[in-house]
Amino acid sequence: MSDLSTNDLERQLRVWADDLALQVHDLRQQSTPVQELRPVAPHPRRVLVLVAVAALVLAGGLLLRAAEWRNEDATVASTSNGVVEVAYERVEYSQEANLACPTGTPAVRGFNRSTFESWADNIGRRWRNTVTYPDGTTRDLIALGSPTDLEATYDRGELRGADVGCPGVDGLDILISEPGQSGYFALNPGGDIMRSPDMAFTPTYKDLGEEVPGAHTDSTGRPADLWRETINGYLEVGTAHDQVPIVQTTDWYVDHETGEVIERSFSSEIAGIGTARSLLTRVDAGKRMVPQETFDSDGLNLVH
Amino acid sequence: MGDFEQFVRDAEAELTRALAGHLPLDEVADAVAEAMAFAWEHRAHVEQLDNACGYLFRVAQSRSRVRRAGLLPGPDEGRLPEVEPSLGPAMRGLPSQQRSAVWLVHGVGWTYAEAAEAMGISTSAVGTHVARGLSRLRQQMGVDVGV
Repeated sequence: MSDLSTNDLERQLRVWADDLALQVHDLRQQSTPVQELRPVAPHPRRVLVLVAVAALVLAGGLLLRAAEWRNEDATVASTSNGVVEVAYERVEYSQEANLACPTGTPAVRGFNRSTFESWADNIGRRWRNTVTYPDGTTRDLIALGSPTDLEATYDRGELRGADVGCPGVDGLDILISEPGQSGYFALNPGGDIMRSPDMAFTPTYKDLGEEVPGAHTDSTGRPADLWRETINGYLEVGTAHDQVPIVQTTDWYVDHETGEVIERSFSSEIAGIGTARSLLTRVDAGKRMVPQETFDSDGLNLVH
Repeated sequence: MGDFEQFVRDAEAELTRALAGHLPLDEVADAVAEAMAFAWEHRAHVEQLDNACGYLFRVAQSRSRVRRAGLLPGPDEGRLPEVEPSLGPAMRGLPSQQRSAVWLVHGVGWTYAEAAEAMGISTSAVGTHVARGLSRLRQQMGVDVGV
């Protein structure tokens, strides 16, 4: 077995990062004509002034949303008397795949469905997730502090969602996996978590997607606006790093009145391999009064 | 941070290295330029940030959003004889959050807090991803090397 130490890996990663930065510099020096390193639609090279013009148009919307997200118009208030008002959301998650893996049909380890609940106390700066799996087991997370520099995180229970992909195949091993593995998750984090003075920029469907005109309904039949992001690219697959076309599509179904996401689907279609898809459907949401004990970390493990 | 031009000089190299681990190389320069344009338009806000680079990293990523395709080319054994060739496939095989965390902390040299802000997750989550990512790298590279 390799006896690579962290220092060895760190040193090699730094050397590699320096070399990639040098390659970027070399590419910039060769700025006309544009270098096509992969056969997709060309990404035109823009000078700073032109980018600033485009950014100015977008900036107006971003600045407006940033102001909305700051705490000057907080609508969630904590109370005493043992209860607290939170923003609550319950989301049904599912994932599926139809893949012709080079290594054969992969075994499914874990669940392809789960229910996510989130409670956000923005005034008290506390957030909780409970994920419930089909067999009744749960995992919990409580985060305290700020969205980006938490004072403490507590968790309990095992991550039991299945990873969807072709195990052992470089580039295909994990195509879809359960959300919320790295921390608090909610379908509408921009409206909840980021109502904070130290908010960092969080792109939303308006930044990433384009509205699809027409009347639309989500998978449950609810009327909604549809925003879509489509990315065409290539995966490097296997030890030979074969370039395989991939199309990734994210659809956000948005409540026309509130602007909140009620459903989000994500799919990866890989040429010659198949399709993997995930679906997040909000089934309940709103302001709720809950016991303060909702954010009690007793019985949970301190992560940091 | 008062002089914007100085900020650009200081931040550009760091942002380039960070984005080189997340975008195809031919997209990195444009992404950095977009981020700097955004910083210029919002300089009053950006100047107040403790970690402007992390913030602009997320801005740049949100503009690009190319997932996986063409990521982390190499390492080229001819250019980098001191880097094990198996590091590239091992890194590309990591789950995206682990790959990002390992790259930003150990490739770029950001602190856990700086990487957390760039990734939009908690500092503790960064630590978890780094630990799991390094463990997985050692495992993959150990399997590839003479076992």
